[in-house]
Amino acid sequence: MMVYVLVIIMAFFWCMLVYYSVLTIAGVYRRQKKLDDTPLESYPSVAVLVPCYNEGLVLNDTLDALSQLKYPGELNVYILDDQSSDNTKEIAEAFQWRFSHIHYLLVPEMEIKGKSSVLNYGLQSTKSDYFCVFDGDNQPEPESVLRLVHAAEKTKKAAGAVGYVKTINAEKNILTRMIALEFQVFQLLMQSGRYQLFKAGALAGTNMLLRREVIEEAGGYDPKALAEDAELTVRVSSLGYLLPVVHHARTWEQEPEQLKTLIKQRTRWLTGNLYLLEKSLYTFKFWKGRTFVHSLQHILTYLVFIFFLAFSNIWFILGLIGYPLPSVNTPLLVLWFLSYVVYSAQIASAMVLEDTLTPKNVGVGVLMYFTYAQLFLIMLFKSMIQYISGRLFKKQTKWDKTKRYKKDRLQ
Amino acid sequence: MIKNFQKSISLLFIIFVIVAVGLFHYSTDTFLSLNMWLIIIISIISIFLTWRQLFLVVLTTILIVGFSIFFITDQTLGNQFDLIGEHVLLSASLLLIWVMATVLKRMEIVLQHQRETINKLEKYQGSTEILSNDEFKSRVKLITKATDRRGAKNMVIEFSVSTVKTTEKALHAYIAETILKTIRQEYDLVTKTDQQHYIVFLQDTNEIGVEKVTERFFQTIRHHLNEIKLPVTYKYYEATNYDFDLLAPREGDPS
Repeated sequence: MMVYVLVIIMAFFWCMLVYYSVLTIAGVYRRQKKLDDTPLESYPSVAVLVPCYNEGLVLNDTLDALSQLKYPGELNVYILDDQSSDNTKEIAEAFQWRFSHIHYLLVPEMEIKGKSSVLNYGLQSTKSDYFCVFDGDNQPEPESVLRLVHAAEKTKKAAGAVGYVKTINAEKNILTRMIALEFQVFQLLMQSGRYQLFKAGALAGTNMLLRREVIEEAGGYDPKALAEDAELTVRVSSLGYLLPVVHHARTWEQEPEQLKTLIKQRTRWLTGNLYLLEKSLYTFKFWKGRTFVHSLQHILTYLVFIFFLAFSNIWFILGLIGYPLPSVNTPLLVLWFLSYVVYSAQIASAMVLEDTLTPKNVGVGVLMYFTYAQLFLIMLFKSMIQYISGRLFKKQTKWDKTKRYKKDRLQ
Repeated sequence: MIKNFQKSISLLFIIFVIVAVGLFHYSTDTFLSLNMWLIIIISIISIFLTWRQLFLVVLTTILIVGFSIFFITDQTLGNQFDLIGEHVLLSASLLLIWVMATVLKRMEIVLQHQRETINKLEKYQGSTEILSNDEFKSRVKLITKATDRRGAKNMVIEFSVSTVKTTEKALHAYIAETILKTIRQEYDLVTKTDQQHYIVFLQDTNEIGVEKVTERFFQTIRHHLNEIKLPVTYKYYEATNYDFDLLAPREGDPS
């Protein structure tokens, strides 16, 4: 029995490796496509929503960048202040007085606090054909919104478009360097690959554009969702819309500089994904058409993969302590080697495409497999405990804002 | 820069040779020729593909070869180690080919860019005082602004030269020199667009000015050239009817 389970696990891992290899190749292929910047005949109006809570440290740089967005149509920027207690209001108002297209909105006290509620308030308070979301620490490049609109308008059945998030403080320390590499691989390469193969793009929490009528059709943001981007992606896809991935539309954001902050942030993301996983288990329309790719990926990553990994780890530990295990004739060493090859191929591809292939980054990439990548397991178990206890004691998980740092300004 | 570039390429090539020798030394009989062919094919196609396309090919090859190990190993630990070692060396060889091709292609792009910059910065063509096309265009722009303000008129003469190959160089040297002598050196501009055409920009003048210049030019060359039918013809235009970006008359020009 144990032998069969082990063989199934290996077959599963092998299939996952093949799948990720194909995604990598497709991602590299898509990334080579040229930018289509031909102008539109007319430009739809866009509301840029910036949810903020105590963003005083970074908001000035954010608004500097947002005030320089190039867009030929009507574009308004709305700072959605979720009752900040620092100088967020002063900074936003200074920009509001100076620029006619920048507006400050104080969000009233909400029943469920968090980014989703703030965005819902922003959507109710504004009018536009499209809305675009940037986090409070983001510094988008001037053409970012324009390129998202181009992709959304030129793609049939597009609900909007999603851009690429780059790390502004990548050089700060080894952790931020690893996060930057992870973003390059999983955001740029895997996203692009999934869109190339299945036309299944996923919304990011920032640098994303959506048609207003689509979010209205989807029923707005789910206030309980901690990973509001992933949750909304599944609902939008289930309506049959596409989300093109535009790697030329870039924004820069700060990433956690300390391990503790990273674990806190990722635990929240993973808890949000577990909420979505549960939702997808009982929502039939989450398994229809293109949505199947998103839901299957969720199930495989957060359920099947974890179960199999736990089993193989137990097998490994039992072997180490000398427990008599049945011998299995399988090329385990080759399988392990292949996982390392696929992982390295992804990291190297991302570095090549982003032109960040330096000896230091290669060294960090080699180390990542044994260090940073393993953190995923710890964080997933932490968020599982958090999620299950929240469900058992009927407690809503609190929205934690990621810590900001002064000062990484885009040159 | 060039010295460092030479060093990097030499170093990369030495590493590639060592890795390739290692690969062929450790390759088992069955895979020796396969590895050799892969290296040859990737080396050849590296000439034709861009560095990004080549990366895609190298990446796909490494992954396909990697996954095929799973099926060809006899599952003994020793055999798995051998195949993994072989794959590492093959991957390193292919990646080194890609790195070398990329370094060379990037250097080519840098040189191309520098060549374009130099062309833009150059004022004159060769050793003559004939202006480079870019310099001619920018000076015409400046002069036109000033003459427009004064309400003055500018004219353009386009000389076409027909030659035979043997006397081409000598004839062009003479024609260029004569045109430069014919015009007002401090005011007028000359450029050469290709092997046949010279464009002369005469500022603050009219058809009479054009006549004087052409008369002087043809009188001079008639004495010097031993031909009944002169190998030079000309057309003239008002500067407003001439497209200086294309260095050609505007469409429908009535000249």
